[in-house]
Amino acid sequence: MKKFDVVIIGGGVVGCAIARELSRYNLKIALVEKETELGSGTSKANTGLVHSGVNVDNTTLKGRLNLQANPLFDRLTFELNIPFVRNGSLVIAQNREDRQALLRDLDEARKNGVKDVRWLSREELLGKEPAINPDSLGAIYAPSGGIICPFEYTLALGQNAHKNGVVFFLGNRVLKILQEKDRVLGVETERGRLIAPYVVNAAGVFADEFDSAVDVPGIKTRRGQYLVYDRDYPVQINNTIFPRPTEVSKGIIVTPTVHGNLMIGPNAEEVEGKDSLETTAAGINEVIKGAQKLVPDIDTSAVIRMFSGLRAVASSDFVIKSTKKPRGLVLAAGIQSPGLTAAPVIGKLVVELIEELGLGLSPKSSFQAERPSPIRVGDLDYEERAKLVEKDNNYGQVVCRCEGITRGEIRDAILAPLGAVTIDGIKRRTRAASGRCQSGFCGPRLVELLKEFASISPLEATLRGGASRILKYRSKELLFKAGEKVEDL
Amino acid sequence: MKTYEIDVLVVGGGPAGLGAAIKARENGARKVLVLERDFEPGGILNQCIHNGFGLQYFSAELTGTEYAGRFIRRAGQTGVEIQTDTMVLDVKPSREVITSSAKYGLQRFQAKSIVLAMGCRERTRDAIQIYGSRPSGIFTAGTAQRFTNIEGFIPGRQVVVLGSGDIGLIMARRMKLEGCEVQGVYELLPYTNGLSRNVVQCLNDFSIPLYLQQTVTSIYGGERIAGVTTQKVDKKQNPLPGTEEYVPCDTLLLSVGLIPENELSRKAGVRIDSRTGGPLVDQNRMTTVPGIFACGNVVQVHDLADDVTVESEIAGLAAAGFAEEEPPGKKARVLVGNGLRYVVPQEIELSRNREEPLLLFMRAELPRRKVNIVISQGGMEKLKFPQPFIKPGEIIALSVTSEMLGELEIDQDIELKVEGGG
Ligand SMILES: Cc1cc2nc3c(=O)[nH]c(=O)nc-3n(C[C@H](O)[C@H](O)[C@H](O)COP(=O)(O)OP(=O)(O)OC[C@H]3O[C@@H](n4cnc5c(N)ncnc54)[C@H](O)[C@@H]3O)c2cc1C
Ligand SMILES: Cc1cc2nc3c(=O)[nH]c(=O)nc-3n(C[C@H](O)[C@H](O)[C@H](O)COP(=O)(O)OP(=O)(O)OC[C@H]3O[C@@H](n4cnc5c(N)ncnc54)[C@H](O)[C@@H]3O)c2cc1C
Repeated sequence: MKKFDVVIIGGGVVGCAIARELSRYNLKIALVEKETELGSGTSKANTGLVHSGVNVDNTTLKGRLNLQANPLFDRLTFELNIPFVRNGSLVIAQNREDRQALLRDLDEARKNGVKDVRWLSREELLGKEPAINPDSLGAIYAPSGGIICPFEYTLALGQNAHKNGVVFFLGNRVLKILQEKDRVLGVETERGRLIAPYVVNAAGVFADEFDSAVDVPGIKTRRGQYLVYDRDYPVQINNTIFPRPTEVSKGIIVTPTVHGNLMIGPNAEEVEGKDSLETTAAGINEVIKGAQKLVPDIDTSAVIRMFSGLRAVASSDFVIKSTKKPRGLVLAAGIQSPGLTAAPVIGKLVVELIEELGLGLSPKSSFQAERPSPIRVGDLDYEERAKLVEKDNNYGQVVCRCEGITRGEIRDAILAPLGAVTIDGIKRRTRAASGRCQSGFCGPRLVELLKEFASISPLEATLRGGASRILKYRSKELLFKAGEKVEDL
Repeated sequence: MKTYEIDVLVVGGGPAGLGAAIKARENGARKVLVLERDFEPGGILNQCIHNGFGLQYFSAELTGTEYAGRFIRRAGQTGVEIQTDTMVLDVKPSREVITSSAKYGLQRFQAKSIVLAMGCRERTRDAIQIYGSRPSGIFTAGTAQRFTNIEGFIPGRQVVVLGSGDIGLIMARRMKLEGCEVQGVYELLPYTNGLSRNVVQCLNDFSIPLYLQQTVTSIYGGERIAGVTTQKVDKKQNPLPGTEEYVPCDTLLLSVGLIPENELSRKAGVRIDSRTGGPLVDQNRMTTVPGIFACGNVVQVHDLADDVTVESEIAGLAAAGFAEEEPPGKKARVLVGNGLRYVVPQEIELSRNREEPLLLFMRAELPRRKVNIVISQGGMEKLKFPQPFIKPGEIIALSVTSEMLGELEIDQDIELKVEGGG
């Protein structure tokens, strides 16, 4: 039986941010994630925006946390060595009604302290972003809006927490929150019990699924679909372009990603089921139409990827609190948008809640805030690159030809702490297979590299864990077994 | 980083690159170097273990690997240097080339002329927007071919093939030969996209059903693909509501088009023809950047390796003879008229090479019987080539002899179009 001070359920951005904040103190902490890779839930499939705080309601928790969190990102991303750009956000007035409402929102944003926020006239707007619909009447401009790679961000939080002593249990599902006499005892997992007086539920859309977790509101899922474009797509914008938000969402957005691809989405649709990650004709068409209102030239000629993500909706706000019954349980649930932005502050808030419950906190002198940057060969100039390859020739061999990712980078992604064990894991860490051929060329090589560096045989290699195997049989296997029923593994 | 001087530098070691290199070497180029990203030269042919190669060029029926093998041997005999495990990162208009390799580190080359021969890549699920979930088990046909023929694994046992391109047809048969159940080949258009011989030899001979004017509109399955929805389409290729059918499968292979791989060509500053997706070339396969040539699938997606070889020899010969000092002659444009999708080359210098026949490659827009391909200048019909049958899936190659060339005005654009037929 393993004993900890705190067990965190869920290795999304929220769970990982909480783990990192807790790892600043002398505590024994465990994080349990059901998938084999961190960030496999909502944290991998979203818009990747660090919201400026324009259009937030500061009477809500999510609004306040957004406002507090945005200014922290320069330092955080520096410490974690992850790409982050304050590319600016523009909320477009498409008609006079929008304009009136947005001018009010601008006042509000100023009062809320959104940095350098201002109004752009139509001319200023089109000067800044020539691809925008010329019928637009102006926009709120918030230079502090930013873009981030949501996966690398989640992973880096996790890796930094790991370095500071948090124990990670990956590919292990929490079945139950254990309690006795209204006190939390720990969790029951697929692979045994973890004992701890404090448990944090950061299980995303699944946060309402633990037998004994009382006080957790039922979670609904609201899906959003996206399209990502080739980096060479001629329609280009620099800022993140928003329409005026609706009651339920910030609307369909046009944005560059931190890796330089144009991305559009998401729509917002209630769906049944916590794995309803399909894309649909209706949803994708809605996204394209929505995006075209902002940037009319957008079409589908250079789409390289469609995907969707699920917002966990518990109420209209985040649910971050300790439960009365059982004592010792802290919820970080219903973390819908802007959860990616708010995560670092959610982490701090959860630490405070645990402290209030009675856990003594003493800062750990050995805490290291930095997570070293992985080597990114593409960021080097040719001379630097030549030197690197001289030192380690694995960085000379290009495996993914679309994104130019080398064998060395893929090796590092696999061998790093909390390393990649799936094809998607390699892809999210390195961008190999995320380019225009979508693994057509490098897929077979990635399978080989998983074997070489993670000892995962090709027949066991998966896209993203579970039954998502890439290859099912050896060649000739079905012929030798002709007539017999071949067992599906 | 050291700089190496090269006479003819070839990017890509597939049949196009090898053919061009050998021809250049045979025609006086002293230092000829082929740079290949993979561990072996041969390009896509290394995974083509089926036969049907070389019928035209060698008058012999070879497998793809045998076909490539002949060129690899000849490259050795003629003194062509091949450097494998070497990715070309950058080609500059000044003909400077930067490469990266585990074996050789980073290298810089300065070439007198360059031949681009990077081949093509396959169109993906997202490029054609098939909706649904995102499970494993979805492959482009070429990737599945590599897994099956080179790595020794088969992706699954119950297979749906979308698209009737040649690779799809060949892989349908290959899966059947491996003991898989092939549910069928689904094609959006009313006709197949592959060679007629592949439809016969790969589908008919193996009783694999072909469903024309049908497509896959959605994908199901959480972790591994469990099935697809197929739907009939109308004349405008829109899915017809009410025709949905669920077809179970654990593998979906896509053969929905090839796209010339021109990222390097763009870096080199060569103009791309939006019709072919490849560099705009003249009859010597010179691109719009002097001294940079291109051939093979990077220029246009070929059906037959034999045609690739013919084209590569044109490029190799011209690359060997390229001299910067010589001012370029005046070029006439080759215009694409009715009934054709594209013509290669897109420009010709009619004053040059008049003793050699001029080869024109083109694709038809639609299948038609008993047509004439007409070459005209300034609205005047000049030459006529009768064709018993044309279809988009089979390249039409016309050889314009030197006598015929005499009929043409030297400075005027020529136009090609399809006339007559049904
Ligand atoms: C379409 C969309 C767009 C968005 N865009 C933005 C944006 O631009 N900016 C922004 O700030 N926010 C955005 N968000 C919100 C943001 O993505 C989420 O708030 C955030 O990712 C939630 O993180 P999480 O850790 O709570 O959830 P998740 O990432 O889902 O993590 C929960 C984890 O718990 C694990 N888990 C579940 N059950 C168990 C169990 N029983 N045992 C063990 N592990 C378990 C899951 O596998 C999962 O990894 C967007 C959300 C969506 C859906
Ligand atoms: C699956 C398949 C089946 C086919 N079946 C037949 C058939 O039955 N009969 C027939 O006659 N023809 C067939 N063909 C057609 C024929 O094989 C191709 O037309 C021919 O291989 C194209 O030759 P290529 O040299 O242009 O391209 P490729 O063979 O693709 O070679 C291009 C080479 O360039 C290399 N390269 C690309 N980028 C770089 C870079 N940046 N640096 C270094 N190297 C690079 C690649 O690694 C590759 O080796 C088939 C083609 C395919 C794809």
